[in-house]
Amino acid sequence: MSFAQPFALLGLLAAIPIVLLYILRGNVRRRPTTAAFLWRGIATQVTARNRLRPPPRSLSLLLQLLALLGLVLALARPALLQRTGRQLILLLDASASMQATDVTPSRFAQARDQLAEVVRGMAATDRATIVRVGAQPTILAAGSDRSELERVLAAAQPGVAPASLRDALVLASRQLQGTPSEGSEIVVATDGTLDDPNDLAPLVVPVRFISLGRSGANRGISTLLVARAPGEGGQLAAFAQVSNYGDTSQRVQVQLSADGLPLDTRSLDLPARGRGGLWVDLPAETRSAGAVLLDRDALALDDQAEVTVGENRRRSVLLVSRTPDAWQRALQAIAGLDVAATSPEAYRDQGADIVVFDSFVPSRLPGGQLILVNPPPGNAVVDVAAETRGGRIRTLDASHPLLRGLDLGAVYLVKASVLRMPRWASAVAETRGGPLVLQGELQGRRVLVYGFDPILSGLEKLVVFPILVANAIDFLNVSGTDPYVSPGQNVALPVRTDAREAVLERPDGTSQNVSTAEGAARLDGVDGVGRYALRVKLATGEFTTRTFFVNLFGESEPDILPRRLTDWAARSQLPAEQLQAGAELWQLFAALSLGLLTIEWLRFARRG
Amino acid sequence: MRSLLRRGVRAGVRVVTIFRRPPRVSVPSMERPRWQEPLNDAFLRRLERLAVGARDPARGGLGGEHRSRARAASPDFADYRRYQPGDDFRRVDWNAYGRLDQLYVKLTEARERLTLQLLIDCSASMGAGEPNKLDFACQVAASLGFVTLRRYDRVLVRALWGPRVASRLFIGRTAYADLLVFLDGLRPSGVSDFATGLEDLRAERPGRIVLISDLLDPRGPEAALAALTALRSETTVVQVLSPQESRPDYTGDVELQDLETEETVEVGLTSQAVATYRQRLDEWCDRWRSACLSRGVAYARLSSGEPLEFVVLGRLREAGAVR
Repeated sequence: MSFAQPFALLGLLAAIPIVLLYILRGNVRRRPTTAAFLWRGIATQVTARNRLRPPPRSLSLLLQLLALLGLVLALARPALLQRTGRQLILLLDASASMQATDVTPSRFAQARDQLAEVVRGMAATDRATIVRVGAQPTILAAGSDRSELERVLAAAQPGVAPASLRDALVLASRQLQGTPSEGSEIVVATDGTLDDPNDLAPLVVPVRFISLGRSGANRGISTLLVARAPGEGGQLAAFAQVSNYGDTSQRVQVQLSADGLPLDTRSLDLPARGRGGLWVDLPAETRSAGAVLLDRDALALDDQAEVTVGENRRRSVLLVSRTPDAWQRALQAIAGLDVAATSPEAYRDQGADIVVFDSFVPSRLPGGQLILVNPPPGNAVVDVAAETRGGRIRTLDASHPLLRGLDLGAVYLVKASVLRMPRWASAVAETRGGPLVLQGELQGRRVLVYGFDPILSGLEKLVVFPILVANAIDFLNVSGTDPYVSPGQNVALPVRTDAREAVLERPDGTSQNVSTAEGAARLDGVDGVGRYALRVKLATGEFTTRTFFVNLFGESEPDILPRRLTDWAARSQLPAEQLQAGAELWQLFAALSLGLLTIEWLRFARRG
Repeated sequence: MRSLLRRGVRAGVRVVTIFRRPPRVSVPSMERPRWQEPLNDAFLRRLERLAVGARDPARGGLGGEHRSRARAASPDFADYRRYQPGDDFRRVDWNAYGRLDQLYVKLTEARERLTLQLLIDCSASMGAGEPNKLDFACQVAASLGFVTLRRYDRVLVRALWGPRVASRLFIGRTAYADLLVFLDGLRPSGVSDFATGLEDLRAERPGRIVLISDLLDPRGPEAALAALTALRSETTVVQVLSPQESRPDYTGDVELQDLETEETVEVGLTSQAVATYRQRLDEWCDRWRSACLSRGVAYARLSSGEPLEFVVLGRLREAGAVR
């Protein structure tokens, strides 16, 4: 047993005055009397006995001494030291920078080797848990079987997603069973390019960092984007930005390609810890543009990038309305849209890119992006709580793309629905009664909800109406995916409702089946850079393919300069006396002391 | 059921009684409290021969067995008075008229009820002793109440918790059971304060008063007896002490705590100290007795360890409480 506050044991000295009190006071029994006034003064007539005598055999004295002992022990915070083996939590940094080859063979390989050394040094009673620190920390193995742990370590693979040390440490803390015995620790094999978990509560076991990496010299493509000149068939151009993370200036050779075919190779001079960029024109029908650094460096992941070119095709819009004229005029004024109108009675899913439902919502939603205008009560998408008449619109976020160039505050609403906020949406504008304009992503598609009828409120006669419609169309991303997907990002690709199965082909050549439930194919945490292809088989037997690229853009992951986290580790640990304290027993002793005092008090109260 | 039986009898049907109502008893016999054990049937039969001792005519209302100063229609001749206009002719003594040629009216003596007021000290000190003093006081009160109720008199019980008083009037023979229930509900608490508690008694018509208390009020007898005698009733003070109060059975060092005032006195109980205490107690009791006698109040000192029969039939009879 150990004590966290051993000085509290000095409180036992309080037993001396208690015993002295009993000795001096003697074993005086309290008796009831009916006439104390007849006894007054008689005490002076009797000879007092010798006051100094051995402590009386009093249950009260015993209880009080035991209560004092319990109280002092509770204050001293005793703890039982565990005799079990050590608990080791091994955190393996699997972020992109760990693939740097500034050390041989790579930082990740060295991390595996270092942790394998720790595993080999385990005693038979020790227990280890191996956690892969990726975008989401995952436990690879746990137990005392060293050969199994080594095998799992050897099979561990690095990722490209930013890793969260904080989440990993939280997970590691949860893995500690009971009170860790002496020698238990969290071992983190990392190059330090992780988030700083400053707000983490102090840990009960020490954290030891195995620092990896030697140099921060790296160059990478930090941006690659494709732009099209305005107008039909505008010229395509690609812009590539290359960053130099090293401390010396560098000249790099950048090869630009279109649809996998090299277009041009240029030299680019990069200052120390600076960046440079270049433009190149692309052929008109280019579907993807790529850039490659021809010089080798420590991290190969960011040496190449590829992006899809936004489709320059016309988008189909299906307008489902009983009064389609105003909407149809506004939609047809937007370039690149093929607008078709139908009535709710004649509606059927035609696979349109965008569907506008005016005062009607079908029971089964189509696969395209949705604009719901004045949805009726009882529809399956958004709950209409109430209906208000009259009132003004209050915008919540004036900078929202949906409200660009609009001042809806001047619009008087003849009738509006008070929408109940669904979990998938957020409010853009509201009335006094509640949310009015919602936007969100439902089942892999973007959905806009306007809780009022613009026609009824006379909005179609104002200039704001075509702007409102144009903003809505711009806001809906018809391609379904953002042009840039970051490593570790969750991707939801909309698929047609008649999709039967979908297969995702990864950059490394592997493939996996993907669920297409609720009109979307959801990919959780794409953890690899390169080209991904989603092949969807439709009910008609046709196949559609949607391609997207994952690139290691940005400045944080490619910056592979090793950092030391030992300072943080020192700050984040509990004080030394609290470490390895074992199972704390102060609550037990405090309860015991309280119980004894209660018994003593009850005895005193009953005895009077 | 009754109507069914009547119909059966009218029709000549022989009715066999299966259930019979239990005979009415005056004393509840089931689960009698321990303090009521001495109040058994044999003892109560002996009490039936007693009556509450009262020198003065009763003034508790007509209908009792006690002599009264009032004149009212009754078979008990009291005196003659000359006829005055308006007198009832039926009361004219025609024999006297024949002899004396004067109209005389016969006067008869009314019979009144006696009101016995039982003042029971229920202060905390009465809860002490073995046998318990309050239990003993209740036994004495129940005995006197039984004697009173048997004579169609009224019993007014007043429980005194210092200045707080709980009163209840009992009338008729059957009220004895209610009296026992009332007495059984008394619990000792509070501080003795007769002088204040007896203030309310002045509104009552004079009767017979019996105060049962340990009289261990440090303020002495003067104020209490002044309050009692102000009631203009024939009064008996019954002092009840427990055997432990008379002869303390403690030894060694004790811290005595007063049950009422919570005053503590630390005493080394030697034989000398006990003798001093007993002397003081006797002096205290004598002080009460002298004060009572000087005010014409009967006094009796009882021990809760004494047999109830001896107390009621002997000690209280000597004190004039019963005859």
